[in-house]
Parts: sequence; C-alpha cells; structure tokens
Amino acid sequence: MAAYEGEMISRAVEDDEDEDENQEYFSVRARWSPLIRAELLKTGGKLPCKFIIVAVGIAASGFVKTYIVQESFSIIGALFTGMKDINTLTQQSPTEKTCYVYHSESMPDILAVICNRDLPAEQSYSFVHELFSAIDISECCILILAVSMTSDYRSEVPVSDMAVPFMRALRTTKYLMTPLCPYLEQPNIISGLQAQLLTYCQLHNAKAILYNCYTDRIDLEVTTMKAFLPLLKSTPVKDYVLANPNPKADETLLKLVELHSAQNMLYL
Amino acid sequence: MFISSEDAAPKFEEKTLVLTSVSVGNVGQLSADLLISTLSMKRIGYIHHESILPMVGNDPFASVDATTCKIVTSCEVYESMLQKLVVIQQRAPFIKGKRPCFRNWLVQWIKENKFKMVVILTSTHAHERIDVQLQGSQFRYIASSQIEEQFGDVFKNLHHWNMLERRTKFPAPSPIDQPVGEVKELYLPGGGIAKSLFEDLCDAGVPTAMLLMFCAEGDNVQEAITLTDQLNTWLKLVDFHKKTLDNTLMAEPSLNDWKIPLSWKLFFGSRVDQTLFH
Repeated sequence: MAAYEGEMISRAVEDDEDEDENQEYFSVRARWSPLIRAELLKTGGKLPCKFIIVAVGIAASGFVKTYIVQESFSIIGALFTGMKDINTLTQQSPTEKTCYVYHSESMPDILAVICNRDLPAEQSYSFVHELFSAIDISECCILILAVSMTSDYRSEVPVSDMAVPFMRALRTTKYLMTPLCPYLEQPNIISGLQAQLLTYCQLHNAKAILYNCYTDRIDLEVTTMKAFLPLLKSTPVKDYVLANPNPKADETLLKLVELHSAQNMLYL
Repeated sequence: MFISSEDAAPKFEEKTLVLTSVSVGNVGQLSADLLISTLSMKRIGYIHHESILPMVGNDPFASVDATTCKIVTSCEVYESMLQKLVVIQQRAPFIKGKRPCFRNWLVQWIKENKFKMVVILTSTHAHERIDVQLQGSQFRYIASSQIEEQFGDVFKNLHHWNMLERRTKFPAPSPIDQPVGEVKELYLPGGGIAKSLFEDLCDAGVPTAMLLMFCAEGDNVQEAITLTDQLNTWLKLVDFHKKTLDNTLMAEPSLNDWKIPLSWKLFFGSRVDQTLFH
C-alpha cells in the first residue's frame, strides 16, 4: 500500500536479490566489566535485576543522563555496534554509537541502558539478545524511552492542533500499571530498537512499558527532553530510583543541546 | 522461532496454513487482515526471527472505541479452531540478505508441524503482465501436484480460475522470437518470497497453493478483497449469504462483507491540515 497519496514506494523486493547480495550487518557485542563478569560466573550467567530503564536516541538519553543516571551510577558494560565511531568510553562525544549499561552503586539490581544514537533496525535483534543474555528479566520491570517525529504520527486530529511534544505508551501483557499518557492508537506503529526491546519483553512475559515522545523538532532541544519529566514522579521510576532533584538539571540539558547543535548541519 | 502464547503447545496437524508474502501493494497481508478480522481469529503465538525487522503497535483488530493496549509484533500466528485455519501475518519487511534464512526455517517448521496444506497469498507487478494477462480476471493460482490432483478440476471448471502462465523472464521475447522448446518458468516479479517459498515447499512434499493478484502500488484494498473472496470461494470459510427460513431471517446475523480492521484507518496519512489552505 502507498503510505500516502503520491508516495508509491514498493516494499516488494525481488527474491532473487537475496541470493546475490552479501549484506553483512555487524552483530552487536556486549562487554562487561571484570566485576560483572565475575558476578555472571557466580550467578550462572545472568545478573539479577529489578528495574531497567532503556533510553533510545539522544533526547531520551539526555533525559536519563540528567535526571536518573547521576554520580551514584557507574558503567558496568558496553554494547559495541561496530559503526565507525569516536569512542570516548564515557559517552561524551555527541556522535558516540556505543551503548553503555549503568548500574546504581547503592542498588546494583537497578540498571540503565543508554543508547545515544539510534541503532539501525537490522542490528536491533543482536543488540537485544546480547543485552538480555546477561540480564534476568523474569522479575524485572523494564521502562523504554524513545522519541519519534510528529510527521510519523497519524491521527484524525491534525498534529498542528495538538500540544507538541506529546507522549504515547505501549505495554506488554504482563505490565499492569496504568500509564501516564494514552496508549498509542492504531494505525500508528513503532519500529527500530525500541520495538525490538518491547517485542522481546512481550515474548518472554516480562513487565515492560514503552513511552514514545513525539516531537516536531529534528534537533535536540530541552522541551523534548523535559517531556519525560512526569515519569520521575510515577510508577515504575519512583518505586526504584531515588530521583534526587538535580539542581544543575537545566544547565546540564543546555550543555547537551549545545554539544549536539554542532552536529546539526541544517544551517551551515 | 515460534513462541506460543498459549499454555499448551498448539497442534497444527490437519490444519490449513495461510501464509502472506510481503509483496507489491501488500495484497497478501491485507487479505490476511481481512481473514483474521472477519473470522475473529485468536493470536496463538509469535514468530521471532532475526530476518524480520521489528515493529510494535496497539491491537489492530480492536473495536473502534477500545482504550486498552494489546501489543502486536512484526510476525504473529493466528488460529481459527472452527475453520481449522492458521494464518501467519507479517507486518514488517525482511532484512536484505536474510530471506533465505527465514525461508529455510519456515519450511522446516511447516514440515515439523504437519500442516494439511499451505496457501500462499501474494501479488505481482501489473506492469510485467504479458498480453494475455492484460484483460480479464487479474487473479491467478499455482498449485503443487497434490493440490492440482485434488482440486485442479474444481479450480478450472467450477471456479473458473486461471493458472498463472509460465513464461520466460523479462525482457520476454515476442511470440515470433520465442525459441522453440525453451523452458518456461514461474515468474513472479514483486512477489517477495512467494515463488521461492512455493518451490521449497513443493520440493519438501508439502501440498501448497499460491493465490495471487496482478497489481500496482496504490490503493490495493480492492485487490485484497478480490483475493480473499477467491480464497473463500475455495475454502468456504465464511458464508456471506443471508439465510432465510420460511421467508424470515434466521436468528443469528450473518455477515455481509469482510470486516475491515481498525489498523486500516488513515491509510494515506493523517487528515490534511485545512489551515494550509487559508
């Protein structure tokens, strides 16, 4: 089907093309710190976990880094995507494509996974399997944060009549708590790493919820990151994370915007 | 892999499996949507494979005023116990280069589960039609030897179906230039994995039929309805005729038409913002 009148992109690719093509997608690899590797050997391969927050993309990552992952969190592992990268090992580079896993030092079964850059959907399967092969999600609550453009959002009401940014939620069957915002309405869908994460959780009967923020800005800006703020005072975040109000939050957010605006080629 | 969402492992023996191919106009997938929606089929499992791109959404078969969330993923398996029908609905395309991997897995899974027969729903590019295909019904079928033996007569004489013409690939030579004795083959441009899957299933000895429509990308709802109608004519899944008993309508309401699912809303995007024209 055409996505909209005038757009005639066919998703039907010739089957024969597969025999000739040699598409190689880098399988994502996880590396854990020595302490975690020792812990994995002790527990028989999986880290116990009560709560994981996964941030996909720069806006969601900016929110999590500013309000949740503060000094009390430390890096316990990384997921290498194979993409050509400036790797600072501390996620200071705006284009860093490695995703890092943090844990709370006071409560090591609370984890945060921060993916600064969107991962190609083709790598999402290996990413999710590498991540969850080391984490026991059977008793865990998973919160996934992501951002999409309003141009991808379909509704009866024109988006120009809606207050942007706005959030929509999708949850797995086992997640029984009431979300902060309306559920994502059909015919809207979500794809990419965030979709793969939620699919994995659904298939493995885990409690998970995805909050997708819709924005009309292609560059990183404070309003989009702050759209996730209500999550700090609600389940599941407030149950697991001591969200100490960060007095430097606004300053941190502005620094992030400045760091990423250098990458914005639109007005060069 | 197939992951069941039921407590007990489902039994597929002696059931008909309907597969959709991601093809031009997504006709097979639209047709599967109509089947699942009209027959109120139940989701019994998921197919989780590295070759399929991920997607999630809310329940595509919910009622219009539903406010709950039941997530849908990129490839799911639905069943109708009454019709002994299983449908695999795929909502996302394949990753380039990984389709053979998926096909191999699927053929193996079909063999292990001993389905009675497999029906592949697909479509093919209308712009590649040969002269005889330009007019008349745009519906075609192809069947394995077992299906042809069992239903060939019914297809041709009762339903008046046309078998897909075998031909040489594009650029097809004109009838005058056609070399004598050249082997013609199945040619299904834009059909996705349908042709290879059909051949693999035939080689594996699985009774398989492929039903397809010629179409171009655009509003393909009509092609989907035609394809589903033809499938229904053969398998008799839904009876659309109003039954009367002594000239009074029977107590249970009968269906008049295929039930359009909620996910078909806003096919061509959001409503245009009228302020653009002020």
